[in-house]
Amino acid sequence: MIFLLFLLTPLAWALSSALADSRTLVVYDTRLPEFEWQYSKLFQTLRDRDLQPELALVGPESEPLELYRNGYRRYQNLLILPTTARDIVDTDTLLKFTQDGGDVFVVSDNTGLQTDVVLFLNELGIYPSPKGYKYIDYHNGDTLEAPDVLNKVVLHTEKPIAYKDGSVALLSNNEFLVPVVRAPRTSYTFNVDEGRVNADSTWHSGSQGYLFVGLQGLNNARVFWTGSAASFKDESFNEELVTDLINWTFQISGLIKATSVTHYNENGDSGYKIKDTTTFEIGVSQWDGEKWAPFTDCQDLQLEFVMLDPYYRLTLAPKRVENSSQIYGTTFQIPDQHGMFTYKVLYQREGYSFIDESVTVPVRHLANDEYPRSWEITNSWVYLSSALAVMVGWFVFLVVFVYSGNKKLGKEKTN
Amino acid sequence: MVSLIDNEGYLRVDPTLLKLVKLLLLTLIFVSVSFAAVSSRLFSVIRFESIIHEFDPWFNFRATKHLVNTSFYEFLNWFDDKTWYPLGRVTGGTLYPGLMVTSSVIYHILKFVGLPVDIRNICVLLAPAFSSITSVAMYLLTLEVTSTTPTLKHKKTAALFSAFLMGITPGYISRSVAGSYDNEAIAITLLLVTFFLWVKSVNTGSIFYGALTAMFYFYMVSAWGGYVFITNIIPLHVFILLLMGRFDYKIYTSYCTWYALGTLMSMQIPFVGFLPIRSNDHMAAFGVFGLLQLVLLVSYLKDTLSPTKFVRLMFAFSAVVATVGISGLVLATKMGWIAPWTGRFYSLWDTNYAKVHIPIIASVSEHQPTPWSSFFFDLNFMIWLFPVGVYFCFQELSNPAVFVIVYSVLGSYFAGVMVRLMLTLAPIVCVCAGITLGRLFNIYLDVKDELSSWWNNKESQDSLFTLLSKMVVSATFVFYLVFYVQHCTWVTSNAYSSPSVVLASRNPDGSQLLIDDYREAYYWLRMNTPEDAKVMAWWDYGYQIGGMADRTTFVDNNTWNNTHIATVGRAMATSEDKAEVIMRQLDVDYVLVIFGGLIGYSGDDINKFLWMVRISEGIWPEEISERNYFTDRGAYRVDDLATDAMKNSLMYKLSFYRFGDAYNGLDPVDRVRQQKLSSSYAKSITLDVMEEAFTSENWIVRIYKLKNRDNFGRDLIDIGKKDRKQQSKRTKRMLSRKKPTLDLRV
Repeated sequence: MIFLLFLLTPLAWALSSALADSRTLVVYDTRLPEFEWQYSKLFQTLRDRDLQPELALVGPESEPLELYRNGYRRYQNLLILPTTARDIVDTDTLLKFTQDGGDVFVVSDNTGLQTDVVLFLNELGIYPSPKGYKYIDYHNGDTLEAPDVLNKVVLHTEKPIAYKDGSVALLSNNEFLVPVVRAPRTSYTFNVDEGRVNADSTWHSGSQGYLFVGLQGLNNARVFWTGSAASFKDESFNEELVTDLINWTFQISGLIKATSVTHYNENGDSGYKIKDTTTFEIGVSQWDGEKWAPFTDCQDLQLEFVMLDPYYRLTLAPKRVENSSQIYGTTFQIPDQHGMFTYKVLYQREGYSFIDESVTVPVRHLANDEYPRSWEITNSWVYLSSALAVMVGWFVFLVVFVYSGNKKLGKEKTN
Repeated sequence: MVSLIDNEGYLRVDPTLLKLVKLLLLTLIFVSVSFAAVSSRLFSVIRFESIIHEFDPWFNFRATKHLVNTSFYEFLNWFDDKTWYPLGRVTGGTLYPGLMVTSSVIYHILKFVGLPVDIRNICVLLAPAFSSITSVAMYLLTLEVTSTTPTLKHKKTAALFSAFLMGITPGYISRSVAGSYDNEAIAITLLLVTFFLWVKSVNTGSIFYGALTAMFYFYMVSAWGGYVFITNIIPLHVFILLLMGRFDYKIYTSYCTWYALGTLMSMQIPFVGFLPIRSNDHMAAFGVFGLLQLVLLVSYLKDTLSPTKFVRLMFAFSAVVATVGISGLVLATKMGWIAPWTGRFYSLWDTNYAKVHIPIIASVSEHQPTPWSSFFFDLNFMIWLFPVGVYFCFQELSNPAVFVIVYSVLGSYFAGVMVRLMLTLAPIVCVCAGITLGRLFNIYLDVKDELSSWWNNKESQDSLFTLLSKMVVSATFVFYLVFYVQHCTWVTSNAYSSPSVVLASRNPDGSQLLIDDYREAYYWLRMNTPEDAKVMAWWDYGYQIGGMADRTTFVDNNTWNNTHIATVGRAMATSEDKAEVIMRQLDVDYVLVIFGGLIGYSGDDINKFLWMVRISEGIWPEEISERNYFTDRGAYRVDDLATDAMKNSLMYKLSFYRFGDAYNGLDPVDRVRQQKLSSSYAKSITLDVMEEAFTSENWIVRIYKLKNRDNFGRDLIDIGKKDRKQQSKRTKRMLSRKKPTLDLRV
């Protein structure tokens, strides 16, 4: 028993994915130099993170990758290194793979990329420059001295990055894209076969292009593309960059989740009626690489209280730490409008997993006995007193009428 | 010896025995009338099953279940979160609770006496049960109306005839067959009881009957929106009596008692609330109430003042009253203190008003003007006995007779304006026809003199011919009566006994075929969708989805929010991409459409589609235009020649999606519109934002699920287009190498 614990302890210290199963398939082309000579450090990085890398060597004659067996996804992660092999996997399988929650990391370079993978990236709005286009930057050469890092959640380092034999991607306006490093202003991609540099022969020029791009789908599956393998190779291995990117893509960093969503009526009722005061609380945790920890210091977590349109849009304030989650909450008064209201927290920040929580509750009108009584409303005293006056007056009139008759007349009649 | 023939030749019978026989006969007649009334309403239960019919009854049924399962307090303050999502409906405050309370009381009483009857069966059989009470009320009303008629010898004859006629008249049966669990089921009974009590209180001038009238008026208010009919007809009756110079304390007492108590009580119904003092529909009653006080004052002054002074005072007084009254009314309307005349009210006067201004009212088929043939269809030979009865009332012109005349005139007019108001006309027609028949048989069936002369062997040709002519006339009318029964039975069995939830049809070999698509689909929804799934359908099916499938709906037959209905109409009428935005905003999960093209069911959504277009055009005229759904030549087409707006509309796509597949490659035919689609065109009808979830056996109900948003934010329609292109490997490779034309990334 003690021996087992001893074995497990070092593992527990290493960073790992939040997912139970995180097997990784690494795709490499047989026609390129031996994998071990090139990417042993990368492979070790994966292994350190308990990502259980498995190498799939593909060549011109190889079968398509078996990402699914009997309808079940076999791997959590897919890492595609530069390859010129055709038909290793088709677009639809890749789309299905990510739609089922799998993560894909694509490293390409200017020797070209497999058509189906490009079409897959195109679907997502990433358009890498095809074979033949060369990334050229006469000012910086093959190294980005001061990379233009756009997303600090994904990439923490701003140290120089090697970018050799690179391709560059143009991006669509897809909201789910997470651009990480932009191409320098002095760079362009140029098709050497075209000869002259003009609008048709360049893929990008200046900061139009992107060198490192991530994407996170609604299901939090992540896809990452970069156009140069230089930083991943042993010879110029950039540990900080690679770990950051691997961590993000394979669900180790930038992971947050809502652990609890609660709401209650301040007056203790189980349901809501108009103008009640309600408290909404949401617990958020962050994966720190080993365990779920409170996601603190979030200033922009917002709650919407929606019926067709938002009636409220409130920033949630941190309240307390409970178990391993930070509770954010707010208290507000329900509007004077009955209907089906939805508490909606939609937290979509580039680099973090999406939080999309909504709870719909009916807000009822006042019941017949919940209105204030008439005498509690001062304005009604006028009407109440007039009604009373009429009643009393009528009674007095009756008494007077009945007991003050003309007795003489009565006598005459009886006579 | 209980009977003997006296010296004058008359048959003399012991009076107690005679009374007993009369009572027995009367009971027997009532029992048979009730039996006829109830049994003819049971066609639908026997043919189909004990099931709630049509649309509105499903809501009433659901509300009744809610009442039975919870408390009255819960019911009164019921906030329904399963309809009109996401607005919800303050159901407890926007319904007439009379019907539900009645059946729940019956349910509890039966349970108390040890007869636990399923609430559904009570609801199904409530209308037939009340119809037999209606015939009793009808008897009492006619009896009360004719009580002062000197010319009518046997008053009970007329009353019994009217009870019999009322029991089985199709005009009333149409709303009260078993399963037709609607407000009208009990409202007509209450209407007649109220009128009976009113006539009684006018006849007697008793506060007791006035108060009873108010009680039943309150019950009526709690049961049906048609109570406004009473609210207006009673003041009108009184007003006309005043004009005729018939003012007396009987009228004063009964009217004031009824008005004061009835108004106060009617205000206790949450849905009515302050309407009796705000809405113009109720102003007539209020005005007459005021007028009566003035008339009382005037008659007092007339007694005390000298004639010249009185006339002068009268002129000044009436001028002041008229100016103050009219200007007050105008001012209050202008200031918004009293509600403006409602659309439904206008459509009562101008049959085209609704069509032009409020399509949502016009879209209801029962709000259409009545074709004249339906008068005969619903009332049979009474339609020509009716004027005769009114004529008799004119002859007599007693207070109750004036009431019958007022009711006849108003009832005929309204029945001509709206099909469904045939219901309010039917009772008075029965009264008049009963009076006519009663008189007729009084004279023509009275053969006492002829018999006695024949008995005494007096040779007289005259009496024989009189006898013969009397027999001929009587026989003719007996024939009419028999024919009436036959007609009523036929109409009930053929026209009014279909539950419309289950459709009956015939196989080619003549055997009956039940088309049960609705229930099949609703049951599918109930069993296969999450409990909080929200189903979008046209409002006609809202109550049924709520009642049978127990799922949340967006709009239903309680058309209180025109904008919400128009939003749904807009989603149906616009193209897929725009509809997707609307549906996502509304949180739609499923869409249900009714499509009759495959088996020729004409009441489907494509036929109702123009109403959706019109209603949404009323709010978004710049986006939706009715003209775009008609071809250049003005034809309403659904085949290859349909307009683009039609072909692109969501409703069209949902209806005809995969329609070609049902014909195995042949050209599919829409059997309702009688139009043939080419098979290639039918194949090109695509659907990208929704996927087919369920289609019933005969394709009447089709349910679609709104697809989830694409995981990577792609447009679902673009994905669909790309999928359909089926590019070759080579094109794809070329495509992947082509520089994309992208918008500037922001």
